[in-house]
Amino acid sequence: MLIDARARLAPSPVEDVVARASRVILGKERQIRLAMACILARGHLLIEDVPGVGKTTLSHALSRLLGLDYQRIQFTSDLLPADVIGVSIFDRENSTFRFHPGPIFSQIILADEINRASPKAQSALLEAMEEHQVTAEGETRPLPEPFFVIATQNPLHQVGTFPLPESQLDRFLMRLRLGYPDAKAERELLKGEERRDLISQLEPAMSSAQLVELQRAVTATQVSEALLDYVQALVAHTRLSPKYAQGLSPRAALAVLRAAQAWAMMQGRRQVLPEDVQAVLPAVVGHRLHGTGESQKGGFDAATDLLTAVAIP
Amino acid sequence: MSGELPHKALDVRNVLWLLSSMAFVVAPHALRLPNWVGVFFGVVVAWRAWIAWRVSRNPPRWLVFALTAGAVAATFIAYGRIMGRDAGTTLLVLMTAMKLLEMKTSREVVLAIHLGFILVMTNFLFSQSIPFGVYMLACVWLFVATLVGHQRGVGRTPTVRERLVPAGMLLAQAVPLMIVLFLLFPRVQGPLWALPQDAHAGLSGLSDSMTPGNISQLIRSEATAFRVQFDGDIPPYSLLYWRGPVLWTFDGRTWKVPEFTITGSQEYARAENPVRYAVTVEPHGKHWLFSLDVPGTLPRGTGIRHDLQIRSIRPVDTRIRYEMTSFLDYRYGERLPAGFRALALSFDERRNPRTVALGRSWAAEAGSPTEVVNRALQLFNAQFTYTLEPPLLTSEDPYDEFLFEAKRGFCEHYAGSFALLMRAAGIPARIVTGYQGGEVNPLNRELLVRQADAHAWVEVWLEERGWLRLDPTSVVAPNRIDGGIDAALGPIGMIPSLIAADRLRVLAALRFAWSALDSQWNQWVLGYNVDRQRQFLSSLGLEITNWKDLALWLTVATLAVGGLVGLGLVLRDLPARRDPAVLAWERFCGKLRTVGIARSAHEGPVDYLARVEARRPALAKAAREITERYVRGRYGEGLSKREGRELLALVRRFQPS
Repeated sequence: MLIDARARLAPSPVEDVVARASRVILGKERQIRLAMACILARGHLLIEDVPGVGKTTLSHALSRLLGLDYQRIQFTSDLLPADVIGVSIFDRENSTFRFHPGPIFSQIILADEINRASPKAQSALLEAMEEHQVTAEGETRPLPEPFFVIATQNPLHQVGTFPLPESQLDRFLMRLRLGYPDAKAERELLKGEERRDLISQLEPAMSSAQLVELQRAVTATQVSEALLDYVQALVAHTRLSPKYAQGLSPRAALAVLRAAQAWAMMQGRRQVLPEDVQAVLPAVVGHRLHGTGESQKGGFDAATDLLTAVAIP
Repeated sequence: MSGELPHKALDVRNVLWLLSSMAFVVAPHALRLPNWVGVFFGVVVAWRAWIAWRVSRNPPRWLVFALTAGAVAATFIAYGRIMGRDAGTTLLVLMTAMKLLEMKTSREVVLAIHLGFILVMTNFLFSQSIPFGVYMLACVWLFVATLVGHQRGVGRTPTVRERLVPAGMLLAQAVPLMIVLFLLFPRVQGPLWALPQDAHAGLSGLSDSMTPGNISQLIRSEATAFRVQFDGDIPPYSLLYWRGPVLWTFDGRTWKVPEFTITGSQEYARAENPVRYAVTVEPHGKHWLFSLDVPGTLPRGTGIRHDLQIRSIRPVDTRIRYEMTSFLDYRYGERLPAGFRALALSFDERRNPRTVALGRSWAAEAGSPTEVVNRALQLFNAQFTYTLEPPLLTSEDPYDEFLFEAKRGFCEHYAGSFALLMRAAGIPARIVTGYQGGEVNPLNRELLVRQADAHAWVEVWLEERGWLRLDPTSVVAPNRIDGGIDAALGPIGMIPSLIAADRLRVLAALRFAWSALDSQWNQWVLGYNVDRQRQFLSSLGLEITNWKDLALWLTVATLAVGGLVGLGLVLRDLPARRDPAVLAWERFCGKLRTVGIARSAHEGPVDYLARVEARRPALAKAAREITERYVRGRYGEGLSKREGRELLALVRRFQPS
């Protein structure tokens, strides 16, 4: 059975993570799934929304559930690169400088409110994301594997933000928006326990070895020629249509494909379907597309338009 | 264009493409129009390129206006008018330059490209040769590629390949249509539009007078004079005298065609050994046509003079082809009217006294005119040399100077002095100019006569014998008549390059092949007129005589060809569609559409299945099986041939109602 295999795979650790995270962040199962797909596709995740909708809670919950060691960096306007990377301190006993690794030396980094920091501090983090290593005081140090950054940011029109440049946005595989919870979920939230307590009670749902294995399984998900045709048709449309300021890059196409593979695997399929591409597309290309013309549509809308504009070949 | 970006700068690369295409198409014009036209165009193009490169402003309106007015004025000053081929083309080139200069919007780019196509057409007013046609085709390709690049959306400039390949495909698709239009478009008797008079300036050919020195320039020109196709064998080389203007009047230096018309029919006392042939003559702007001695039948639209010179009613301004018959064995003109006799004996007594004296002394000594002729021939044979670079004859008595001092010369000198000697001896004589010989192309048995084969010879009138052709040059340099000018000159003469290369056989073969191709081009492409069209169509079994039928057939054939090309394009996309999974899926979706569950183009199979299941639970099982197989075939490991057939069978059995 190809289509409804999820039921049979229910006890899988991925489903477990999703189920447990859903108990903390109410009514946001789809976003949790997307975040999970992003991690399985080995991409960094950017969560963007107004304060107070649960960005930090989501990222916090995920790091606990994945059983990885994690650090949280609160980005502020006076944050320095050394606060991220670490610093060498003179050791009196040995009369040498000793490197004290910064919070970046862990498997999951929660970069909270990344656009509140100065570009200098942002780039310290973003360089590490790209290269999986940091250079401090002339010495290059590798970062642990797996290594993820889950960054949260406030919408750009908020006061006191430094927008991430497009080249750095491109380093995030996905950008998610949480949005307000619906009335039912909100009621439950208001009645329920303190979220912080819930998170501290969370137990890891998988080991880091399991995670690496799942990531490997993602790349083995079958991608047919027909599906590649579809991905290329989508990308070509953004390049030819005057509705977009700039077409999608090959890196973006690759990102769509990887995320769709992860999504397909989470659906319990061994092959990727157009639906998988459609499921991840707004999250993957939303921060890479800009509409032109009067509408100046934001990325999410532009991506949704793209889906309806391109026929499945 | 959308109103959002009214003054968006034109893409630099598109503008540069347009400018270089323009440079290519104007280059031939720049070579033949006055120098200042090319310079002006070049400067404006460079200026426009600089504007595009620096994204700076176009020149102000008043400056463009002033330059335009100046260009019109300059054209008028140079030609005295702004119409006509040369002036009109000049004006078009200059105005195109101004359009390029003021070009700001996308619409104007398209307009400029169309101007480019018109410039391509104007080039054909000057030349219609094969290499030129190929060059112009390349120019059209460049313009289409420019257009392709220009139409490719906003923000991204396509690569050279992305321009040239689609443009080439577009042109290739147009080829069948072009052939149909060429073959069937109603032809107009005569040229479609009258070429203005100046189109015929600078044509080379014989003139209607002869002064020693005139033909020496012609002799070096390798340009084609005419081509001949014989029915049957080609006559011996020594009989190939192509008769042109006949010169009667003589003033002591120059021989001329008489100003009055010599009419009157000519009866042949003997006319045997006929040859039939067709001549395709290059335009030379004069009236005369060329024939072998002596013409038997006349082509349509021509008349013949008493001295057997054939004249076309209209000047030969376009390449024309005529068929005729000549008799190689003949005798005529035994009775010479007194007026002609006087004209054929007249000369200026005060000029060339020594030559005249020599002629008279021969007449006194010799017993018969035949003996006089023989003496003259002997004189040339013994002491004279054939050369293309004779010393200049500058004195008042050029023939004295030639006969008694220089003794070096070519056909003009020999024919002129021989005729003068004859007249002095009392024998009526006239000079015939034309061409001698030619070159046989072994590939198509066609005789090619070049301007270099121009020749002059003498006809004398003898009692009882009539007009008789004598070629004094053949006595001096027999090779000139037997083997062409090349053989006559040997290693000493001034030998034009290509003729010298004849000794290399490969080059000769190439030259023949090219000549044969060129001849076909002239006959079937450039010379495709009403008659040829009718001939071609009747060979297809279509007897079309009026243009209405032709227009009907043209429409039918155009639609048919368009349909075939379209069908070809559709078929090209078919193989990808033959995947049984895709075929089955399309039929499946089609069946569901008829019951009101249409799949939208961007809806994936699983989503669609979910919708079908929700709307029609009864169909769920069959739809699910089909969808699963389709998904496996299209996105999974694929279907075997058997599975593909099974899927198609499943869809066939699937009957939503």
